[in-house]
Amino acid sequence: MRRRVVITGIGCVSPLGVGVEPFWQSLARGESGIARISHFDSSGFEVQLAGEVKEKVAYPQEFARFVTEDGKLAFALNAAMQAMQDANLKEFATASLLHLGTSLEQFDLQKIMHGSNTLYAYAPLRNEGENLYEANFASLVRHFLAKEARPLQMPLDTACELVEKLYGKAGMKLTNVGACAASTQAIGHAYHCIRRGMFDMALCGGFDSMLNPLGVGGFQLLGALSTNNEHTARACRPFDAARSGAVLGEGAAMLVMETLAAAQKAGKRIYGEIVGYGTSLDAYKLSAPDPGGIGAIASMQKSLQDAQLQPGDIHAVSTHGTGTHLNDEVEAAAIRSVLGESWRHTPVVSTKSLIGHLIGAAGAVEFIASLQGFAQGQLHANGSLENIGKGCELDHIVRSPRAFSGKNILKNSFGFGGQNATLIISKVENQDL
Amino acid sequence: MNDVVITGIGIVSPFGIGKEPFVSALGMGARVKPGCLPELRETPLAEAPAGLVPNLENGCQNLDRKLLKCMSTAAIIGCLAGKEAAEEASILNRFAPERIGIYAATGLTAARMDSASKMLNACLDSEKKFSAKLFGQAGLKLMNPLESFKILPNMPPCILSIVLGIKGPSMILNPWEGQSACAMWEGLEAVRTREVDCALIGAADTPSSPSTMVYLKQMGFIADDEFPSAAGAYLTLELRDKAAKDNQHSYGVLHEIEIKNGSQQAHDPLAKELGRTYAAAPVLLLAANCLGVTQGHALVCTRGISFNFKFARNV
Repeated sequence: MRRRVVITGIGCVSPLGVGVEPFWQSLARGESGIARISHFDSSGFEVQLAGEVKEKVAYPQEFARFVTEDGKLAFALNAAMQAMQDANLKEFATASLLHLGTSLEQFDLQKIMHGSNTLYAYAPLRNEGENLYEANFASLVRHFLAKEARPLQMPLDTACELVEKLYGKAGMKLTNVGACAASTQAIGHAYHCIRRGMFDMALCGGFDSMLNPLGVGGFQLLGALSTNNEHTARACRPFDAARSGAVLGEGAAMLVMETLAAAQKAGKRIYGEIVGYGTSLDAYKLSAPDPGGIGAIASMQKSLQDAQLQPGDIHAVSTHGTGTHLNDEVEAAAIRSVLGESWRHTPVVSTKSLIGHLIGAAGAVEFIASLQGFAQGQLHANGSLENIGKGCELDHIVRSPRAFSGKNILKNSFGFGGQNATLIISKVENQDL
Repeated sequence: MNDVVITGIGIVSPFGIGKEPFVSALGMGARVKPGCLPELRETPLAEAPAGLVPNLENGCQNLDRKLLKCMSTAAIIGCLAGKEAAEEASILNRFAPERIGIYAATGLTAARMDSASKMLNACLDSEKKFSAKLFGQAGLKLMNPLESFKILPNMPPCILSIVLGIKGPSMILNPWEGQSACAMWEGLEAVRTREVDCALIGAADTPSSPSTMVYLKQMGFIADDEFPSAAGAYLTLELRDKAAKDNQHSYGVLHEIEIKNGSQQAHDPLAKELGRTYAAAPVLLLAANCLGVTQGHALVCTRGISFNFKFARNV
């Protein structure tokens, strides 16, 4: 008999605040966390809006030198501490899994140019038209090799290392870089590991921020982002006819997972049960989904098989819903294909409409928004949807939250490069215990 | 319990492209002759040894030209190694694409100094300080949009999935040896639990790229008597019964992968011959065992994770 895996702790840092409660309250009120970029001077960019974390994010000060290098580490630490505290855990046991998803190392152009925040002495140029950076490359290398220099890079597994400093060694630690599907994969993998008996507990989720000049600029060049800078709150419009691209966001979300038996024994609050996970590859293009949605369909179908559920057993869907033309249309068609006629009365949540695309953290943050559907008895609305786009027909929740008493929610995440992941979470009711 | 066997191996190393140069070099007790990076001349690392893959451009001739524009050196190395393994085991003829999974690791992101320099140069204000505004106005115009694909760490295995048409599960981890060891473990479990019929497990890493070399030296992640080497390796795993049914040659049975999260000092038994290959190291070690050119089967990773495997080679 397979072990049942439940969620006993959650933590979240998002553009809507630090903590799960402010996150949910803002979602329920339909408040947008998307605004003009304040982290750097974006006036020279076509894209000038994002879902930034505006509050000060607390973290252990002993890690300040790491957070100074890479701000998203603060999100990871804060969300991890929230989740561990929520689950009343103070340390990892031997049979613990730590699995965090994220996307890319932060490249601080200021640091790359100058070695540090202080301008170092440039060598004078020898010839007219000489490249200043190349001319000074040797002194830049010398700077980084000096003992007191800040590290040139910050490896992506730093978050796992710091979390272990807080809670002790986990049995295994993984840093998943599955792009926009990374944290959903981290959660799904952790679920499978506990279900199979490989681990008894997991801290998993994701953290990310690409809200720096190179991150925003890179996505801008790919044409993936909305430039609706004047209407920030309505810029990210998943499934809307007027959608014009994604909006980047930042944040983190972490979950503590345990077996149902362990959670019951300890008398813990149970937020929900993970019952299905599926993952697939598009094998199509690096930046566009297979137009037939084959990968997305496969991911959803695998999660249903894993959960031993039928399409009609799904009572709500949390979409990937980026607000880009092709992605939304393909996802909507894939959902209709998988759910069959039941799509007409299966409510659809699109959290990115209010917080933007949190890339490696997106799946986990949106997962927590879905979990709140069980606790609060309602699902939040797609905050910017006015006219459903052609091909995007689904039972979208618009204008105001919708009461929800369903049992199973399907959560999609589809990543750059063609990695897809789907989770199914289930409400745990007394009769299930 | 149905055993899991290794049926295909692909290797790209400083000994050359393909497993043949790897086997013959290690079989003869040869060591990589590291060179120096021209990008680092006139720097304190001017004479720092670095292991590079020879004639990599020749290997690129077999890759799709359009995709090649999006590929980092690590992606090229990974693709060549993955293709060699997949072709040897004929996995695309014997398994449905949806039943093949990729479980892989990538290394530290290697930013190319030459492509970055022009862009960064355009972002200096009158006081020679970096200006985000100037970056948006002028720097981005000098940036190739395809560079994004070269720095995202999931891209090398994703490109491999596109090249081979693999549509099953995936897990891509980053950045050190321990993460590829975990990816290998996950691939083994996926075959054992029938989540997939075939797992392509592997890694590619380019620690001898200029920026990564600077970082490794800066942080002391490489000892003075060591040198970094670019390399990649992929292996195909499947159930023994299936391989036997298809008359598919196998190298042996992979009984167990053991991973312990600890804090020991890093040790790679192939480092003397190959250089430190970081994410690629555990895969290369298992491949070297399959090919009978080493007996070592234990590796301590950069973050202290220890990796060990039980493998019974067919003789």
